[in-house]
Amino acid sequence: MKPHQPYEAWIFEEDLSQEEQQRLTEHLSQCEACRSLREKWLGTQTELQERAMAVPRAGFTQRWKTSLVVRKQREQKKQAWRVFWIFSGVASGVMAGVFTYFLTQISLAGWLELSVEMIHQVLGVTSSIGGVLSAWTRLYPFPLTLFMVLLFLLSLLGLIALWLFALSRTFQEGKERA
Amino acid sequence: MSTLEAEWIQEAIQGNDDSFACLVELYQRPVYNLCYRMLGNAQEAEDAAQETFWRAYQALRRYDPQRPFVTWLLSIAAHYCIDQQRKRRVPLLDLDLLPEEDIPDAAPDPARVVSERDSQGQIHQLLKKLSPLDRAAIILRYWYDFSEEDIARTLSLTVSAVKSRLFRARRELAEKYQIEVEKPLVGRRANETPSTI
Repeated sequence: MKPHQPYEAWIFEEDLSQEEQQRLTEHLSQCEACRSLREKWLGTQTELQERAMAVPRAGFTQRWKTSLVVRKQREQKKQAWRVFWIFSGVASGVMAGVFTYFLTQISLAGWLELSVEMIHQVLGVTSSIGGVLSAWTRLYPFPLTLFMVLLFLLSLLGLIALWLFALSRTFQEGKERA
Repeated sequence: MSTLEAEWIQEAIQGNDDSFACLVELYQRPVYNLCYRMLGNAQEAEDAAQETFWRAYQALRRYDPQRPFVTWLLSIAAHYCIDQQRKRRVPLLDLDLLPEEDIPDAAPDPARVVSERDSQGQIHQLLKKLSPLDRAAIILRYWYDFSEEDIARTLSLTVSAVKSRLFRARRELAEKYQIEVEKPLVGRRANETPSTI
């Protein structure tokens, strides 16, 4: 046991019994080190007991209300990403499972045959579309380039309208928040 | 807990943001003070207090009504500040940004105000030297008059761990108190010139 124990512990103890208090007083009258420690502690304790409560800047609740809107939006975004990643993970898992299953079920030659067949089908579909388009230009001599330009302009207009709509919604939300 | 407070909590659980804002209004001071004493910087304390209320808002459904709401809030704040301190490792203290203090007798005596701010600054310097958990225990004991059991519940410690932490922290504070008290005096004497008197 250390030479100043239990007195050193009692110096910092708040609820001492009468007997402990008496023994501590006796020890303090003989021990310089403990007396000095006690004096230091009494000074510190006085400072601690004169504690002041720090107060936040005015408008804390208002700042909370504003931050709540932002935090909620951030949380919703996070949630949407979480859902997206979960679905992507599940879809990737299922695809990997299906792929592994087929890999074990079909031989390499079978895979090659299947690939060639798929390429053949894709090429067939492309050439059919090309045939339809050339027939259409022969029947209606409307220049295809002009048609493509019009289609592009229409898509652009649609995108601008969508952007303006999103912008007006953002302004409206900002006004409501203000 | 008052009936009104219980009502606000109930309404907030049901999704009423205005009722939660009432709780923020009611408890902003104790939460902010704990954050400020733990972090020692007004801006960080503001951020930590706002984060505390956000965490409470998200976890409101898990709140146990048997427990005082303020204790629950302070527990969230203390854990958050301890985490921040651990992440930060090197503690920063901005004494120039000392916020407005709630001094009981606000007599316009500049000397007294300066002296009180000095002593609060010393306390800050002393607290800074403690480990985050020891600091939290001391703050809860002296600023909130929490019992050892309350501190244990708030900091998720055992009562004996709180006792030993309080003992260690008090001893450390006592050892460093004298050095801290003497510091500003030496500084003042060195800076004193006739024009400042």
